[in-house]
Amino acid sequence: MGGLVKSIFGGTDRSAQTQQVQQNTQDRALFERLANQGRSDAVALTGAGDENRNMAYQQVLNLLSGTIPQRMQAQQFGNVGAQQQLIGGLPMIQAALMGQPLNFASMQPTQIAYNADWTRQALPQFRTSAQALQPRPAPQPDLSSMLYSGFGGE
Amino acid sequence: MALAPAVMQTTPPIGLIGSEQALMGGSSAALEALLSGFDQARGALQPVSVDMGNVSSSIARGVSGAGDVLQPWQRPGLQAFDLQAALSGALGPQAQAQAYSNFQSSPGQQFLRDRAEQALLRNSAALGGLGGGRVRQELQRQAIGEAQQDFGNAFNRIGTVAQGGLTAAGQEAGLIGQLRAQEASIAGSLEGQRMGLTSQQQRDLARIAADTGMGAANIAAQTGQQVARDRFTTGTNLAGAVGGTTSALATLVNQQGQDLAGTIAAGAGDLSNIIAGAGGAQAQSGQNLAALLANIISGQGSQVASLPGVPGTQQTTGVLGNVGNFLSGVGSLIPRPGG
Repeated sequence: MGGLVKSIFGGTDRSAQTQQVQQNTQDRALFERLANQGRSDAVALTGAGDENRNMAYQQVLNLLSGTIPQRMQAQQFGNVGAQQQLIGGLPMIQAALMGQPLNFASMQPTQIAYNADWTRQALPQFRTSAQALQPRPAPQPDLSSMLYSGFGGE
Repeated sequence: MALAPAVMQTTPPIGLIGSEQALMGGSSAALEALLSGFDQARGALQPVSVDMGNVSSSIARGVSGAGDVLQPWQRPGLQAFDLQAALSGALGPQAQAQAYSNFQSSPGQQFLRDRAEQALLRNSAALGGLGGGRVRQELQRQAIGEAQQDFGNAFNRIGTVAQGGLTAAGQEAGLIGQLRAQEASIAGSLEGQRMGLTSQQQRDLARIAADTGMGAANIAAQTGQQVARDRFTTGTNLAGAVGGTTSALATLVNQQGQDLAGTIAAGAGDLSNIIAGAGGAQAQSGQNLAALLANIISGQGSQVASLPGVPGTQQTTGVLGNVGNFLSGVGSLIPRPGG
């Protein structure tokens, strides 16, 4: 009916509009799909980067947590060894002052033992970008959980 | 490397023990030297021992010697004195008779009788009348006369011998008296000398004893003071060593606490920095992701917005819009003040 009226009375040709609408709809769908793909890749790569970075941080934390007690222990060994030398020297001082026999064998050097296993470090098993972009169920990104992961809280 | 034990057994004693040993040794040696010197002084100042025994022995030897020398005169003199006394009858008739008998039978009287008898017999034989009575009478008379004559001579000779013995006895008595007098004089002189030395010696001994006691007291006092000083010094040094050690121990303990605190602080700081860095990086990552997602969404919106419009449905700006656009262009051409 409309086409007849437009054919008879003339009027506006809407076929181009229709075609344009269809074209725009297709473009918007393409844009939507590409944006979703971009967001998915970005989230995957960011998550892998975060995971790799946190793994490195965790390894550093583990290294420090393992070596700090050793530092403290070495300090205590040295300090206690020095105290023992001082305490052990008192009888010798007394013996020397009194003129009693001296036994220098009681003076021994002290070597502080240490564990150097912590020096054998290796890089964490980082996830590569390719691994991160492997097809997998893409969970919806939870920014809050990503932000607070590693802090032990929400 | 373990140090070789060095037990000081062959080295001189050291320390307080060695010091006190040395002090005691020196003090004992000094005291012994003092006492030895005192003993020597006392020995040197001992009263001179006057050995009167030696003097008496010498005197006795002198007396004995004198007796021995005079003995040859004394013994015959004494015997002669006794014989003369017996012959004189002073010792009684029996002694006189025995003395006479001895005198008659003496070799001298026998010789005189034999000589007179032989002479008478030779004269009588020459005359030829040996066996007559006159001869025998003459013999008796001659024997008596000669015996009487010889008795007097013999008595006098005995008296001479007795006088010699008396003289010798007197001389011996005189010598003994002189020697005894000399002995007494020597004894008296020596005793007087001894008595004179004793008082001086006593003064010297008293002075030496006082000096010795003073020296011993000084040594004892000095030794005691030195020992006391050494012991005090040793105690002070020990206290210093204990104090120094205690101070060093306190410093070490304090240093240990500070080091541990520093280590804990540094470790906590490092851990905190790492955790904070991780949080910051995580936040930055979230921000970056959010920005990226926002850009994507924005880009998507822009692309959607930039889609071509539907023909005929374009919106015109209208007359007022065109006037506004014109005025804005004119205003941009006007220069700004100070520009």
